[in-house]
Amino acid sequence: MTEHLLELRNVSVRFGGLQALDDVSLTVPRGEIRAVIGPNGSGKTTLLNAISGFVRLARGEILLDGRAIHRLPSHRRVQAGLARTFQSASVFGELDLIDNVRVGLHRTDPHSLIDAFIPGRNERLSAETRRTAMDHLRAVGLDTHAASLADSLAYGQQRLLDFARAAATKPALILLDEPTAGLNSTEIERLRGDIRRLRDLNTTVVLIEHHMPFVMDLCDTVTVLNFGRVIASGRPAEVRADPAVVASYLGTRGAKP
Amino acid sequence: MPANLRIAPKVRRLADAYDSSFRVQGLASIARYTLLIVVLWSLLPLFPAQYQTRLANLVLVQAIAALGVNIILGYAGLISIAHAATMAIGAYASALLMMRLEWPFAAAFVGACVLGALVSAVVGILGTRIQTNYFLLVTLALAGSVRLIIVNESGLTGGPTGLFGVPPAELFGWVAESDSAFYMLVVPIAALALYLAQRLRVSRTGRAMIALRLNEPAALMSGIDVKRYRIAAMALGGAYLGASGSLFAHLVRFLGPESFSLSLALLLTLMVVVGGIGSNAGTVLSVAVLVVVTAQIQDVGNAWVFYYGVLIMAMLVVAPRGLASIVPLVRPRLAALVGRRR
Repeated sequence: MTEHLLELRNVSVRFGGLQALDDVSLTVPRGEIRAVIGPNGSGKTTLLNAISGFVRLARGEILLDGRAIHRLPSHRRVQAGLARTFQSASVFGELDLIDNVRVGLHRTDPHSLIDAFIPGRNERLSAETRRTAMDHLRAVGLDTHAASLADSLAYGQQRLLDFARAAATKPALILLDEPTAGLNSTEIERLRGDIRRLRDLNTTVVLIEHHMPFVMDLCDTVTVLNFGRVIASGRPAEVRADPAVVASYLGTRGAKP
Repeated sequence: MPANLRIAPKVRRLADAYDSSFRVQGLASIARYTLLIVVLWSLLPLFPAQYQTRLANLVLVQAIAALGVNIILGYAGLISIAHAATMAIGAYASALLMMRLEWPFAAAFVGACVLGALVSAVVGILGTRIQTNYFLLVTLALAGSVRLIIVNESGLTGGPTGLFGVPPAELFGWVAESDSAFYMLVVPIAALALYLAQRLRVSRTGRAMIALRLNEPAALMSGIDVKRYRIAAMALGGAYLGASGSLFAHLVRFLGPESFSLSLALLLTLMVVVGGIGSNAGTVLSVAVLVVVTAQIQDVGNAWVFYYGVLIMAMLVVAPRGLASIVPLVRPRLAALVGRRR
């Protein structure tokens, strides 16, 4: 067990001539809720993509619990304890809600291909994973829609379903890409509780967010990106007062035009 | 006696009841498929002539192939045109194992399934090494090579003139020489194929395949090894295609290079699309409709292609998500109709 669950060392990502991430180093202690904020195009989603293996690093290393993961394919990183949600609603539209979450249970589901063909055994194992999936749906308030197809949900509900699927993988680290986008205020309140509950179950959280009150209230530490570089990192109040952050992203109320 | 010891037997009984309830569910699903077999068997005397029996046999044989295509295309979303080639491998393997090595039919049939699975898995391994868009090209390569082998290796395959004298299917001395006997044999095999495909669909493996078709990034971030499940879908689908090819060989008892053309591969793909991607029941239904309709309109000569096109377009307008998508729409109306009559 290392003190820092996630560690990025001098990570750079390049898209052709564009330096999307420029020598980013950061550490996230175990059990922290970390926000990554910054203007559009500052490299926030690229950062999540780098950690989860959707883009290749030009330079640098990523360590999860002291283990280098930056050369592993995405699904192996999930086996190492990583989960993430996506910026746009990312569900399995033709599957019902229960099955959407059961996909998230893939890693821990003991069901083998042979089990599926044994009458009785298949039913019993299915009942078990269905019950677990139902618990995850209840946590995000979607249990009443359990048998509906994911396609039929409203946008905000689809985003919550994506969160439930990611949480079902029992991650050590979960990455959330703008979790409040498209959610109404009730759903945001519930999500805040869900994220805190995940943290209490020893999951470390890294989230990208534009909703500042949500960030200031929920997160322990805020990291600010601009042009692919970390320009500030600290407690929410410190970051809010940082002149560089104010100039590049937060702005000042009533400032001169 | 401590309280927990008195409670323990009760908990045990509850747990036993819980377990046996699933055993009952499992047995019920077996009973349903047994009933399906019996019902299909009892339809045999209703076929007016050998022609209808032959048609029914072709429907069942093609249904097995289409179920395999449904695993490859409908579950895992892989677009392949090697389906006919995989069937051909199963057909020639099964026929030649019986003719040359004098294997019994059951062994030759299993051999055809295994060989179909292996070849299909190798195509899957090659295909998943490159980008998904080029997967199709790898399958085209298999289709081309199989055709060349059939045409050129005349010592083995009979070449362009075809392979005559394929023995009939037999089981423990019982020979399925007539179409009626073959029907009795193919019904349980097709029912088993449907049962296994349905079971696969609701299993962890099947769910992983469907998930990676619907949303690959989310499947990856659920810990699903996308490549491995694509190869598994190719292997399982290949076993179905091999089985179908073997049955076809011993039904028609003649194999030629034209038996497994590229248009058969497209037709199988079409059957799955018309049935509703991913739906086994829809696939079987669409095979029945398409085979029977094709047989009816063959009287009009080459114009059948035209009617086929019209049929597909009508299908895409009426039910773009396939026959399976109509069922939930029709069911409440049917229920309302039945209710009114009462």
